[in-house]
Amino acid sequence: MGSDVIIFVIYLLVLLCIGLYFSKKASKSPDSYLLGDRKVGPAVTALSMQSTSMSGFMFLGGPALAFQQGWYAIMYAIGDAGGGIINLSVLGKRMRRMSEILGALSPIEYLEKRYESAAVRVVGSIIATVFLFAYVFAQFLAAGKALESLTGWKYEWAVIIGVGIIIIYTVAGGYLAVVWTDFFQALVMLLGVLCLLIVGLVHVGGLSGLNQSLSEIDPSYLSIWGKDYVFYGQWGVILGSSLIYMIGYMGLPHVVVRHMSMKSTKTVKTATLWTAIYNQLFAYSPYLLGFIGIILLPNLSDPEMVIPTLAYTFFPGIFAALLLSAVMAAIMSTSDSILMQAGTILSRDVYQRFIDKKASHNKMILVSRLSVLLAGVIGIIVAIVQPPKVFDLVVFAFGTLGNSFMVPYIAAVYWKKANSVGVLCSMICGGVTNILWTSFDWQSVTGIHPFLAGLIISIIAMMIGNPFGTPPSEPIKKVFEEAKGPRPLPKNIDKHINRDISPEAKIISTFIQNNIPVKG
Amino acid sequence: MFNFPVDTFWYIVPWPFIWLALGIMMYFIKNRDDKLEENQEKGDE
Repeated sequence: MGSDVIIFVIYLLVLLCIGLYFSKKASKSPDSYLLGDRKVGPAVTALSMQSTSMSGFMFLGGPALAFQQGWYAIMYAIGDAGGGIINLSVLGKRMRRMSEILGALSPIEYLEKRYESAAVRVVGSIIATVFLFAYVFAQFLAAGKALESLTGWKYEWAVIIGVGIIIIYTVAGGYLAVVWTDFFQALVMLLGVLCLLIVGLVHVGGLSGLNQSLSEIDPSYLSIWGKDYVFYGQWGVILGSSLIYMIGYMGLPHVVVRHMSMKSTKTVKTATLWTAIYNQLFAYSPYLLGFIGIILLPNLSDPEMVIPTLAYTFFPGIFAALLLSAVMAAIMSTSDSILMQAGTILSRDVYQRFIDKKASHNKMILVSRLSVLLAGVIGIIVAIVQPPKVFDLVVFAFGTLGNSFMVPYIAAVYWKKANSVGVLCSMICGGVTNILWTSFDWQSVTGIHPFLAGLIISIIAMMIGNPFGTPPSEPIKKVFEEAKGPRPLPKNIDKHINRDISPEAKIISTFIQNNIPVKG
Repeated sequence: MFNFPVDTFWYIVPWPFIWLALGIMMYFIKNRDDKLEENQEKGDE
């Protein structure tokens, strides 16, 4: 066993310890197990949100795209780098407030309570379960593939060991174990990728040397239009590539749940700052390593292995060990959050909502744990039996989830009149559009990215469907206003407020002092 | 700069600075909201 594998095994043990440490706290109540008692601080919220958002795609699919297409791929990174900031700024405070007022423990339950419709929960649960599973399969495949090539373990055993660890700590420690391991893994990902990038840039003569070499190989690598200018003038593709990660995270249930678990609405501001700094350091680096691969690994047969091959060929020793842990950190931090969310949907949105409404706290925690376990075991079996390509699956699942849920989550806190019919139309049409656009490759015909198409259709469907639904009830309208929080007075009112209310204030003051009404 | 073609440079290089500036700006906006909320809570008490 090499030193890299030993370090990796130690890393896995640390994750297990974190999970087991939180197992007692997680057993207190369903609120503790599913949402960490809503007591997660800013740094953990921010970094766990980022490591959850940035999956195995960041170390495998993303660099592969960079290796094949050149600087066009950085459009995905640009979106990624701003995604967390936008997510926290747009949804953070309002979703935190509204979810607590509504008493929602899962993002799907939140939609049902906000839109006052069981149909929203049923449709939402089906879409979320199917595509979260697709997403997690992709992560498990990536885990097996990375472990197999980096450690030499057999693929099946690599999946069982890698995923087995995730399942154990998630089942034991619940949501708190997930966010704290994600926080730790975010740091490992950053450390791993930055070390590799620095060494890589030294090898190619810095950013200027990198671009010089790329232009000598093929000048089109330096354009934003892809290799051989294949996307030339297709702004629909370029915009969609950035938007999918810039705003798409607002539609992922396992990501938006971080808003619901924050300690308070005041957590948002510091979390935003953490996110802004972390993302600028991390998001671009894997893609830059993909570009470095074009120069240093011209004969690489599998582009998805560009970062691992770079690490093991050019930077052996401690860097290879760091790389192995960083790749697995990216995969595991996303997988555990999806597993947790899939388990939450199965237990809270299906079992407690439709099977046993009066389930006790202990029973709910047990059902939640069994649901996470079930989701994990199904994931392992599928990953072993049918391994399709990582990149295709992630983009497909991610885009469909984003197109189905993004508009409903935003409308929940920004459009008072949004109702269940509008949201159902939006969810179904957005998701279906993404599936069709991806399956039939309408991007090549229309020059529009599937995510952008799904987003446009989702918004239109919401606008068309909403007038046919029943307007929200008065209590929900009140909740909506409360979720907005206190608003500053408009400047012109604020400026004249003293002058405007001074006569009334004088009368009140006279009355209080003299206890007699004042005429006039 | 960095041997980028001019258009690629302007499409790509400003973004990290834009995001960082947005993050800092949002920090101050949310901070103002927090203070407003605190004042309102004090007023309610």
